[in-house]
Amino acid sequence: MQKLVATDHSVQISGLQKQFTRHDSGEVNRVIDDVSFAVPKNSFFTLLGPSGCGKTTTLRCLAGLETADGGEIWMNGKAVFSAAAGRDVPPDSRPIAMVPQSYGIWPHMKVFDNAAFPLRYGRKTYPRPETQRRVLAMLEQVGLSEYADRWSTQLSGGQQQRLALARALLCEPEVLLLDEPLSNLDAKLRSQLRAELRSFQQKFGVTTIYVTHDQGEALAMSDTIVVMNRGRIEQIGSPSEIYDSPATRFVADFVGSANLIPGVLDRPAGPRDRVVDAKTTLGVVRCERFTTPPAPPTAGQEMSVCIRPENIRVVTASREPEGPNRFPARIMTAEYLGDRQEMVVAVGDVTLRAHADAHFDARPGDDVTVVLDPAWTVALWS
Amino acid sequence: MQSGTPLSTGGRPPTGTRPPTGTRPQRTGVRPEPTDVHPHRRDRVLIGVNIVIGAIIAYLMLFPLGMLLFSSLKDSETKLPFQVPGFTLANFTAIFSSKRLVEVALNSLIFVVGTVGLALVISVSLAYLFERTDIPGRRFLAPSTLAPMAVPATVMAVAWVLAANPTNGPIAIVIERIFGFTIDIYSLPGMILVAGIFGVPGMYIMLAPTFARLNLEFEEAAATSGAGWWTRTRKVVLPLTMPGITAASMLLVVIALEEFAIPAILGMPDQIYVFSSLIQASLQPPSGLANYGQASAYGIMLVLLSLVMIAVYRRQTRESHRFQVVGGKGYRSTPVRLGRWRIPIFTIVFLYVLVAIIVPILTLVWTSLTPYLQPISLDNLGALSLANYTAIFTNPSLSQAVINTLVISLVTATLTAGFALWLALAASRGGRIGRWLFDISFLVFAIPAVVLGMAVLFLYLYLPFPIYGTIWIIIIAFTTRYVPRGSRMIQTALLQLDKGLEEVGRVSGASKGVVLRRVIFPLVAPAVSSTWLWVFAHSLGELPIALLLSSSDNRTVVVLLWDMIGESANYPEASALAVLLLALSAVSVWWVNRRGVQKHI
Repeated sequence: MQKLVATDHSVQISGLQKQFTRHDSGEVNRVIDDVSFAVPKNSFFTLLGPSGCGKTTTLRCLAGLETADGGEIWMNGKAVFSAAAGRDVPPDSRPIAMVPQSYGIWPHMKVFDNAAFPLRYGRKTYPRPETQRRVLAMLEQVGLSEYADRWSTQLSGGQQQRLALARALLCEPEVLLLDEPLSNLDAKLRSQLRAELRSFQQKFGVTTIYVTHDQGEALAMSDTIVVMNRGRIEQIGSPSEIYDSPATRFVADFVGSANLIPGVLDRPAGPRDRVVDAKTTLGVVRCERFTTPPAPPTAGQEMSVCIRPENIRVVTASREPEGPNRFPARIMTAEYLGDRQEMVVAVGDVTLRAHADAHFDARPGDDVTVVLDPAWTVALWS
Repeated sequence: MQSGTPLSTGGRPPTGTRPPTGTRPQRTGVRPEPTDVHPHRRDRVLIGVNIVIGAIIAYLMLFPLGMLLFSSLKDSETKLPFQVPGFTLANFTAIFSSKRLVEVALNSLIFVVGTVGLALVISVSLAYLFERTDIPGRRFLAPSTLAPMAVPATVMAVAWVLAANPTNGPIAIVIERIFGFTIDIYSLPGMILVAGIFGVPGMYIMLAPTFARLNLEFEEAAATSGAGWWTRTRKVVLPLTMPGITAASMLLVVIALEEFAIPAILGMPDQIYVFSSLIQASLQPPSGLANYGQASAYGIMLVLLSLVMIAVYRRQTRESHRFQVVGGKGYRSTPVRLGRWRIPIFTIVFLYVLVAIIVPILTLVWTSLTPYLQPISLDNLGALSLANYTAIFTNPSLSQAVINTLVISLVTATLTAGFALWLALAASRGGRIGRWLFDISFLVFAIPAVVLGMAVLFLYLYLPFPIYGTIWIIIIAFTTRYVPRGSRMIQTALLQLDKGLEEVGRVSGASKGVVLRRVIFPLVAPAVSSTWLWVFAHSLGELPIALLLSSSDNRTVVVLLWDMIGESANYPEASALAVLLLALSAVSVWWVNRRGVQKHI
């Protein structure tokens, strides 16, 4: 975790807990289980995870729309929630703005009135001419100025999303909360608005917390990603850290595609070691990439090896000289995708997905050699 | 709240510390951050107001029920219940040992079963014909079959009395000339006929969507498997629409059980009683003394009966989720072709509209223009005049009734819409107490109007409020009756609101009150005004409650109608009043339906 001075953080959460008890069975379901993180000022911070992982609940706790059962939330150096102190600042008194998943565009108001709401009834109100000026300027920014007098229901999905963003930015928030704002749009619009959203965030320099289940969005937009699973944080890091050095099997599998091979540690690794060897059903696999283990690993400890398909090379059998992580394999299936071939190869009982050169000449049934690039082979401790 | 207008610069009294503004420019209207989460004074006032409204609603819903139970356990015969000491089951033993019970129960059973059966056959046929076949003239026929919805039951009964009475009703005369036998509208079959036709629109509205949305692919699949029309209808269409049909029938059973105006007006001449008319007759006997205890005991039985029916209905509608195949897209199905049956079937439906709806209403209008009761004919055309209508505005007792009715309906609609909105909001965000209030209000559904009227009557004879004999006692009883229904109409609209619309307002910095006023209220306003109109229309024509609570000064138009039909037999003036009522009611019902019909219970 990053160790920054507290004042550089817009949001800090520590030990956040939230549980629901099912009425019929009395079963306790921990939606958020001891979640802590800090969001640096002006950064784009993403909560990523499958549905039901607690990311939306975390966001709603930040907004004050849900009350957590334990922990603390700080915004701009002030506690807005503290279970111990019995403090829960209501949403309208937190320095936030939000774009909900369904945009929350009020159908009984015109576009202008939707955007002007925070300036008329919000935390900070303005005289009429100032409101007028600010709203029109903001609508201009998001490309909706000519729609100001239309009813908000006449807008398309993408326009509604821009309006919701304009309204949120007019709140002048310290922290902008976005709850899967792109999930209701079609694929083409989504990638266009993704770029727009990121450029707005950079232009306005507002700290943004973004919730999504789409790893592509998360990797493309974020400064920092938090991967969540079952109410817990699996890993916090930059997009490249998350993708290249996943800390757990879950992260490796959820972000991108990965071959996960179970194994045990061959020999104990000291704190200075940059390389570990894993004994797997393939044979001994050298891993030059791993996160600092929670405890010093011992020989025989269970672990996993992760290798992404693009880091497996498929070569003709016995053409290259000997080296680490070379295994004889047989091609099971091969799909030609133009820029590459996606192959499934079998090494003994283990099948691996690999991206081979587009013009590599081999057919299913052929014997080949696969090379797992040790620099990109990751040892996973859990 | 100060920031209510757009021009406001915000700002509450400086109770909290200003937040540091940091590097941002000086703010122009920063709301001080609350330093704690304790309620402010305004919040405490709001809580007080909420407690008062909640208490009023609880009082309106619970006290009449309690009064009813109390009085049924008093052996009071001719005295008022609270004038008798001690409790006893004598009323119940008396009615269970009397031969009257068997007779009335049998009458009620025949009436309810007959009414529901008739309405079921007609409305299922109409729903099928209009939604799934190419019957011609649908755009004119479908709204016409719904027309009885705009007619108050009392007006409907009066119209039928005029149209089908054995002496000079045009329908009775035509039937006698063509078929050679006389029909008697003053009989159980007569009541069933009128109440059945009256029940058709409500049932049709519940059934039509079921038939409309039934995906044609089900039927096509059966057709391609070689099933003919009859087999398809029997094995595919009916089973899939059955849950909807059963639910609608259950609801109509409850409505028929409490129906008062039709069985009372048509049963009165020959002393044919069902439960509801018997209760009224024992409280307001034409001669002799009222029997309060017996009426309450019958009332309790009627409440229990409709409670059972409502429970069955709720069970039925819960089960129906299994049949969600019926839902889905608004499918416009290519209709079943009627072929050579097209014209004959059209003729039958047209005759139904003509005989069941147009002729009775026309007879009513005709009679309202005549100086004395005379058959419809060209010879009498010259005698027509608007004299009966002028009488409404010149005769003080008639115009007083019109004013009473309007005041009662306006005030009831406004009170009910307000309470119903409050109750619907309380149910969704008032915590446990709000939900509890909402749930107990459901009990009122099970109280038939005549029983509710009796309970309110006893209650205000007992309580020292000087409202007996004023229009206020009627307004209170009407409000009690319509708040549960109204709150469910509004709740349906509230539940359809996306929660995000409200949340985003809060996150944008608006307080709960502002979000309520600027977001929630405007969005549920259409439902509230529909509720207002619905209650207004129903208050205009409500007979049993107004009748039981009537005295010389607070009589409404329907009560006057009742008196004119029963005692003075002044049909022309009564018809003019009925036409006036019909016009008012039709306009408001038409207005409600323009916004689309909502279903709820």
